[in-house]
Amino acid sequence: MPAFNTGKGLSESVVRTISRKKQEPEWLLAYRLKGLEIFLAKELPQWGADLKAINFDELTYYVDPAAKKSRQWADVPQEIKNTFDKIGIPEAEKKFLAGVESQYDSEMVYGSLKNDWADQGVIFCSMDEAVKLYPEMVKKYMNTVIPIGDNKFSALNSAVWSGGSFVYVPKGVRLEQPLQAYFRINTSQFGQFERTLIIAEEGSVVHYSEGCSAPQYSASSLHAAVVEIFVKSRARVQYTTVQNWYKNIYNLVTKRAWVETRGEMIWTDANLGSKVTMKYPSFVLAGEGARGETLSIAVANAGQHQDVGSKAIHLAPNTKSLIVSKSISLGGGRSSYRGLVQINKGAKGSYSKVICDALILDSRSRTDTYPKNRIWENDAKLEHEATVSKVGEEQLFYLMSRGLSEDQARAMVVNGFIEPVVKQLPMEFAVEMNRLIELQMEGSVG
Amino acid sequence: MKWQVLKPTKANYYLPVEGNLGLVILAKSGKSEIIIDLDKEGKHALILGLVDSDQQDNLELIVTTIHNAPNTHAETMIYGLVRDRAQVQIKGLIQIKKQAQRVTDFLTERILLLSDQSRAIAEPELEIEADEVRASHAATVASIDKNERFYLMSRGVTGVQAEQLIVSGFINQVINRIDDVKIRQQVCLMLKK
Repeated sequence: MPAFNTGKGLSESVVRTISRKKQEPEWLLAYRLKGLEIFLAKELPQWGADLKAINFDELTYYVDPAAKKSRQWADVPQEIKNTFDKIGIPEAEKKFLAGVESQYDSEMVYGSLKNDWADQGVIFCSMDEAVKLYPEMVKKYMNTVIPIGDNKFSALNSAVWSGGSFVYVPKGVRLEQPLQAYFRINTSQFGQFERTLIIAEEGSVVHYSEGCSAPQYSASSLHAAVVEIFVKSRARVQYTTVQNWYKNIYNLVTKRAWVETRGEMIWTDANLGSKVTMKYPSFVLAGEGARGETLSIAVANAGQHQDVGSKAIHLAPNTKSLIVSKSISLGGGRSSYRGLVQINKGAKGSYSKVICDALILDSRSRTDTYPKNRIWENDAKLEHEATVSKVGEEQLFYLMSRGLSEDQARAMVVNGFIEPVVKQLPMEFAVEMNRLIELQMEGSVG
Repeated sequence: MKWQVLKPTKANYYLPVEGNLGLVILAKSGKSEIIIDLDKEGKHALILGLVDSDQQDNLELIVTTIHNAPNTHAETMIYGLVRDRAQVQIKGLIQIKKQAQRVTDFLTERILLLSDQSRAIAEPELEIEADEVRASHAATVASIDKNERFYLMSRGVTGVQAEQLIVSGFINQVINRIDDVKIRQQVCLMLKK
């Protein structure tokens, strides 16, 4: 069944059509038009990965979902269930997974929210629903921590966004189970622009996780999401991503969190798929004693460029940040760490530590490290370290003398290398990660 | 090892490494880029940078080590003192080209912020295209460790003296790497000026 779409290319009328189709209020249309204006005015970034191959006129910016929205597991399309199975979520665990929201094309098609959480006032819905049900909240927070004009792709997202999640956790509510969302792109050459907003009120705790998987296509596709997170005083938010887009996708994502007094933001981020990923999850430590942490893994195989990293902005005293990045380059892939630590004047007693480790598995691959550390406060401390190495012959020899094949031995060393980050992931993601790494390593003898 | 002392006065320096090179860079202000090109197999380079900026100084120092040949080895240590209202930006780039297998390179950047108006930008970068390599970099930016200062003062020295001791200890970590006595004395004299 052909779904409604706006056709190829981007123009003011496309943006107006999306807004009309969604019956959006006037202020949101104004945001979208502003986004379009900035997107068209801004040049492609002169740094990072090569984006020249993206043909913006060939992309379709909005597709109405073919599947109807459902809240029953039985109603979920078989295709999506298969994706869940492939990723390997056990049936039993699904029941525990608190609310499951998955994205089919640009809309949510499946969602279930545990009743007891709903009773506590937790809101977990699609952004489109949020605009209708909680317009004041959306208006208050949207485009604030990531302004429309932050970068070319956040502007594009602001213009044509569709889908994504809205999460609101009231004061003092602690969610024990992670909220989950699965994203997939399913129409050829269809760019996906989801928009996520998470608000964690004072003293609340929430863990949001998203995993991506996409079926195979021939033409290049673009994924440009925007994720804005607000961590209020003493709240804790963890955001986990396992990104495994098909290898023709440009994944250009802007993610940023605003962290208030003694709040805590943790990004756990694994990038395995896509053709090009440019993603730098950031946190602005705005309140005294705020903490930010990024734990990331990148795997760049043939034809891939993972240009990923993190940004820590220290605005207040006694703020702490930790960035741990592990990257693996193989089969001619390229992985780059690109990061920023900014400690502003007045952020006394602040501390930042950045660790980047890279593993390079063959002579065709490449790895880079581009950190920038700006320290404007002398009563602060920054530590940065990076290493590049290969899998040692002696390690392989030892494992092979114990009866493992070379592939198995290599996979074991690589899994050991990323283990410090993997163990921070929720259980099912950790299992998935090891499986995905083994898959990547098959036949990769360098 | 052939030692060379460089006080950068112009914007660009290109130093191909013919024999084994020991390079001491003494910088205070201004912008300069120094490229060390290891394009002959089996060569070593030890690059020592000492930066001491004060008043309204604005320093930008870029040290790029390029490994164009296999079996080349380098180590870079850049230590910086930032006083008064000075700003120091140090970028150290290690490039290892595809043909440059069996290469090691280590870069250390350490910056001490000595006044509450001083600022620093540290950019240690790596671009690695070969796989038989060991490369790493580390950077720290901090002020004088309060515990070290306290320890020294508990031994009877004044706060000012304690800080001087810590600063000279910091600088000596670099100077002690100069294995040529004459060059070491020359560098010490130049630093006193």
